[in-house]
Amino acid sequence: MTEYILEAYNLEFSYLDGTKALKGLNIRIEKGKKIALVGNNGAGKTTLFLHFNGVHRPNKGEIRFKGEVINYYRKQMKELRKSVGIVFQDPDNQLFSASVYQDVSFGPVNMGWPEKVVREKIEQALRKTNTWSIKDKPTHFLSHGQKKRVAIAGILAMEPEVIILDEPTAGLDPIGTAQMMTLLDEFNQNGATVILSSHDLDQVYAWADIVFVINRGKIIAEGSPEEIFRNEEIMQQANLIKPWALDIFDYLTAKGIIKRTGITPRNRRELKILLD
Amino acid sequence: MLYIDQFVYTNKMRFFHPGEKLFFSLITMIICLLINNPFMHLTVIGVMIGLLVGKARIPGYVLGKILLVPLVFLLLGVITVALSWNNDGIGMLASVRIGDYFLGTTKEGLMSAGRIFLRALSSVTCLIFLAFTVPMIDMIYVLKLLKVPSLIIEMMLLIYRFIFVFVETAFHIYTAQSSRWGYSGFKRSVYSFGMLFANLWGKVYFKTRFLMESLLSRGYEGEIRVLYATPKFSGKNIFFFVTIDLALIVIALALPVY
Repeated sequence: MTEYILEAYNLEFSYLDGTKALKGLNIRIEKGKKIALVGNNGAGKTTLFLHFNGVHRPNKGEIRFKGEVINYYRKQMKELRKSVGIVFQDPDNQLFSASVYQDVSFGPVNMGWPEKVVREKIEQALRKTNTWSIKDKPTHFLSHGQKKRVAIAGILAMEPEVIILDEPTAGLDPIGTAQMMTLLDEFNQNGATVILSSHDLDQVYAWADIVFVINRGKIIAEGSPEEIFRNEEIMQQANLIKPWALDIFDYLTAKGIIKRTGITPRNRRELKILLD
Repeated sequence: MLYIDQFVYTNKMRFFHPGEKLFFSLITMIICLLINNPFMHLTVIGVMIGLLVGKARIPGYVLGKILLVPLVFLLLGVITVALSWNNDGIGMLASVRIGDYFLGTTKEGLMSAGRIFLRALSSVTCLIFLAFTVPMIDMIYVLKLLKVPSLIIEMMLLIYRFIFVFVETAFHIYTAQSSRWGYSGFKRSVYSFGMLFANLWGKVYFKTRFLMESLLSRGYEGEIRVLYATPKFSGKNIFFFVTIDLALIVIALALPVY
């Protein structure tokens, strides 16, 4: 039986200004997978994420964490926020302290762990994200990529079971993007469920196990990257563009240049191997 | 402050315990204020500049620029002390006749102006030593050690961080405006600056909301609790600072003011 770590049913949410951000959204997140959420700006990605660790409370519907309905009581909230970590898109909104070390310490200290444990977690998180060497630098002298890694370290230090990243590669250079994806793979290999939203569909196609398409506050499709990105109707409805590797592969097989073998290339390297 | 900040975090005395530097600076300043001895004041100025340039490796021209600000103020201030007036010009080293009066300066006037100047400048160099060697982050840590209420500590933490975010935001708006000729004349400049200011507040509002969301998602419950990288006191450094202060007192006693 598949184990779902996060589930949301019939989620409805409006902001105070009346904007309906979620309109009866259903989603089930499988444990231990690499999950991507794609969709337009304003489709409701960030709003959904904020529901996953209880910052937003739905007007209607329910959210389950490990099968248990979230009731918004303090004790459960603390557990939820420890277990589900969100890395926000703009690190300047997340890093509240000028000191890298202090900022990373915030989450674990809130968990009420003893100081010795917290210091260990901070060091581990900083080393994993390759930011240990900049721990004494003030945040305002860091590059965007460094800030982003520090923001991730701040979440990692709480050792969440689910790590949610809102557009982790936005604004990063190609090398930074590649490093980020490797880092996310590492989290996943260590047992965490990783959820990200991204507009870089080539990246999503190469990386994800499961892709969800969100459009106007609803999940309109769910499936493997190949399934989703080959579904022209969905792609059109959500204004998405087919990843180039898949597009070229499908074109080449249609022309008979590549034989169908049941293997679909996920990236440049895999496509080249098929062509050799 | 933004300018100094670039040097504070890279100064070579950065990893001295901030408490050592704070107390050294404050105690030296108190000595300067309590003991009125120009020789000692000169020594303090020399020691502080020496420490900053020689030990903390702050570039001399940066220090010079920063020192220029209080220097100008001090000079303007002591000029009024040095000047005096009487109606015969006797005893003045130099004077100008204005009507029935002579405006000039006496030996005593010059001496006391000089003393005040040195005393003030030496105190200022103590503060500048502090400003250049102790980053705000470390300063907050010392205040926490000194049991300053956590509300003030939290405010300092957030304000210090967000000064940079807002200056950056304001700068981006300014660049966007001036690239569209927003500051082409006086009238346009006033208008554009008003727009900048108004929009900055809007952005502040959203930043606050986003910050709150991100704090909440990391388990914020009304108090910002963090751990500090803990610097260690060093006997060697304390000995070094105490020696300097003792030497200053010895100088003050050995070279009495006549």
